[in-house]
Amino acid sequence: MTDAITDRDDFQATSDPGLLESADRGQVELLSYADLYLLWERQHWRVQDLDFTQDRIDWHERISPEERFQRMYGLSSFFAGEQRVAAELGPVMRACPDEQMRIFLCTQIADEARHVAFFDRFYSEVGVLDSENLRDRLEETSAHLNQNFRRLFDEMLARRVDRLAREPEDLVTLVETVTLYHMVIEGMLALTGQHFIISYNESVGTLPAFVEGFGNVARDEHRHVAFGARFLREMAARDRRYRDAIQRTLVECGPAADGVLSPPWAEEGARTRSCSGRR
Amino acid sequence: MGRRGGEDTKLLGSSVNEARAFAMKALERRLKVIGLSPAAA
Repeated sequence: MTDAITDRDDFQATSDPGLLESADRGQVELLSYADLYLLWERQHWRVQDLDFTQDRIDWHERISPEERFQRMYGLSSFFAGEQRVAAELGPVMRACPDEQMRIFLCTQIADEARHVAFFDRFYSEVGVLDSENLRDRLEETSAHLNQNFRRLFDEMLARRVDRLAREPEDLVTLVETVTLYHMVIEGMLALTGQHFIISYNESVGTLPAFVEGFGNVARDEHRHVAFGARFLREMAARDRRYRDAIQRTLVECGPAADGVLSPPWAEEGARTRSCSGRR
Repeated sequence: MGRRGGEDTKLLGSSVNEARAFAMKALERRLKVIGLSPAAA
């Protein structure tokens, strides 16, 4: 899985094993929590710097209504997903047993907020939907999600985070949550979607500012996943219960995660709808 | 989380099965580094 996107130096700098062929042999030197924090400082970006002028033209004049509808599944999953994880990460951070872990997760909370702001600005500047504010955009775009998304985020993740909020000393639940959050939601779903969405836009020459910002989001996600890999490696080495928790979570959440990769119309049968948005 | 036989919906130039393969390869690598084999997961 090496290509122009995954080979980016700034992606590789995160030490996310998913990007590295040496991980096929289990040989990756993961960054420390402190080094991941320093990398976060070096990899800042600003949503306000993106100019969506060409993206607006592309969305309304170069992308057909049918294709806009198809794109809404991926866009909505990311926009709503970023909002969900930004809201859920606080108890996860508090439950981490080490100060360096907590400091890094504080940076991740800031990242997730920036990702929500990125999608909100893209929707607003491009005129993706008719809604006029963040809350209404999230509600309107959620019509494009599928049931597996809701199971994964609103049931499986929310249940574990609620437990951590009540019992922050519960390390088994913390390991389950990091497995679901960092390995499944970010590692498997977000980074996969980002890879294919960026590749497609680059191949057809559409949405340049979105591609730039989305690439920055992906870089952040790789850094988060590298944190998750280090945390889970340490916990798995510490106690058999934590190894079991990782495996149990992957088995439980796997089918729902797999379902998120399929757009709603895959199971409903091919259909054509339009998504006109606001110009 | 294996492939579903026969189903391969296309979305923006790529198939769902291509996305699954990409996601599973990345998970496999991460699990190896964590110290778990995906076969055991």
